[in-house]
Amino acid sequence: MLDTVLLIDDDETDHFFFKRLVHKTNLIKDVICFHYADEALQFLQSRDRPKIDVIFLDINMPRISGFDFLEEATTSLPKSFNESVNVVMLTSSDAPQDQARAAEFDVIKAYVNKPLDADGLASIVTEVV
Amino acid sequence: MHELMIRCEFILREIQTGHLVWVDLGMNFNRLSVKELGLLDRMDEVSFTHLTELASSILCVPVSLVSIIDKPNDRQFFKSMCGLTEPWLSRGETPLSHSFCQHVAHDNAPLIVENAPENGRVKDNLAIPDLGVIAYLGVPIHDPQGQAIGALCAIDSKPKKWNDEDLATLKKLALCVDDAIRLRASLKTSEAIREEQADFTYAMSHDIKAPIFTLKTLLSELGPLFEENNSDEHAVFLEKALQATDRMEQKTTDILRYAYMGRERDEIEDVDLNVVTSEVMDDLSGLIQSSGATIKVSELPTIVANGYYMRVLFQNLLSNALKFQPQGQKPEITINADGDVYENVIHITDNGIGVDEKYQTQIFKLFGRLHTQQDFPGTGLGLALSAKIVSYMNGEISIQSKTGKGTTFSIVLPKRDIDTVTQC
Repeated sequence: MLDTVLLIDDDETDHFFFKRLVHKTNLIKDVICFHYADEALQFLQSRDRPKIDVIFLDINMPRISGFDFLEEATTSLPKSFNESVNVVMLTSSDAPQDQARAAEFDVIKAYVNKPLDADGLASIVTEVV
Repeated sequence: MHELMIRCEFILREIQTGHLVWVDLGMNFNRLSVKELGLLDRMDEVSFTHLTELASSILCVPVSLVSIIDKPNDRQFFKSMCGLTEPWLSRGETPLSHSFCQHVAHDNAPLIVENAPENGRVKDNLAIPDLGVIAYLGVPIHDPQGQAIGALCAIDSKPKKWNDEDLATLKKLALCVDDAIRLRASLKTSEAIREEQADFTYAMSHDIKAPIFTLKTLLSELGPLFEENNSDEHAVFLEKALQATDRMEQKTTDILRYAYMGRERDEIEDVDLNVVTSEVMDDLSGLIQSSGATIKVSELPTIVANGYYMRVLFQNLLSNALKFQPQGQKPEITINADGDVYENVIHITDNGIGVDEKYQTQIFKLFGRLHTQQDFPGTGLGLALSAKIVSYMNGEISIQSKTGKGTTFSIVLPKRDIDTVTQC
């Protein structure tokens, strides 16, 4: 079981489904949700934030895309971010160019197409633990 | 109920695969053959004609040709002929038994012949007795991929000493022939892309819009069934599903509008922007009243434009000014115009949330959005379409804005004369 994960996704319905899945599977204690990637970046920069086990990250979002977020996070956040964090792309895009771009980031541990189901979440949690 | 759900899923899969198939199709374009490039057409083409005329006059020879080697049909085809005599002029081609140019294409290198009957390689070529080719200078021409497909040549009926300058000149002219061929390939390719896009747009309008509509109907059918089961969660699901199909529908409509813009020759007329503004305000009257907005409109000019697109443009900008407001604030909007003898400038100013400088180019891009659906719903197409409309009129749209300090969109439109616009 994981303590805290971040969900960064602009779609309210996807938040709803994610939280519902977490509630049903009981695999994660706490989910912190963001609709905008820049707000998530700010949160990650704050000193007193809890330790984040996994970041579930959408690609197509307003203002800052998932990839912009990763560029920014991997360069501007302390080194510990790159070493400790696990990012899972959770997106409706199955475009090969998006998958290829995701593969370029070391912090990305998985690329998952929506909708995420209980088995999918379980295997991500197992991998991280 | 189960059956209805299966139908919904089936339709969604259909929408998804339809879209992907198109993306695959758009990825690659086959190499164009000599025939597809129109290089074996009997059409008179000025660019090639000018080049053979130039070659003939600079090199002081009676004949210059652009010759395309068509091996499958055992011929060389003259795309351009300067100084050729009958019967060859009417035929516009010769069998390969009469071709010096085939050697140029084969070697992808110049062929320099000062006196053909004494030249080992061509002394038996039938062009000597039948066309009277004695001196020959040929350089290769190429298709866009760089493959030699024929020659640009200069021909004389008496022996001639070619010097280095002759060869250099002909090589330069051959580069111009290559350019003309490349240009032709680009035009053919863009034509193909346009056609493909038209097919896609058609598919969007039918293959995607229809299933969205069906999906909506099916979901609406599910409503009463859920109510019977008295399940709150199901009702929430259904509401979200219906919202999603509404978004899909709106987005498809906007994409179609964007794709069709500028495709047909749109009617141009005198458009009174005061009338456009008041019509648009009528359309948006519900939103204007509910938000408590005040809109000040100064005297606006009459311009030469397409009335429909001007309404779309004003509707987009005005509804943005009304929409992007802090919660509870009453929108204050002014619309005014200035300009000079060359151009009209229209300004639409609001007191809304503004646009951070970082994102000011992003907002004009297709699907560029700065907010979630919950904060400010939209398709991400409004300003992209507005920019397209303005650029279609050779104008420019720009934004001046600071976060929290409101926004001004300025549209610069060159003044046009209705007669010259409709003529061209």
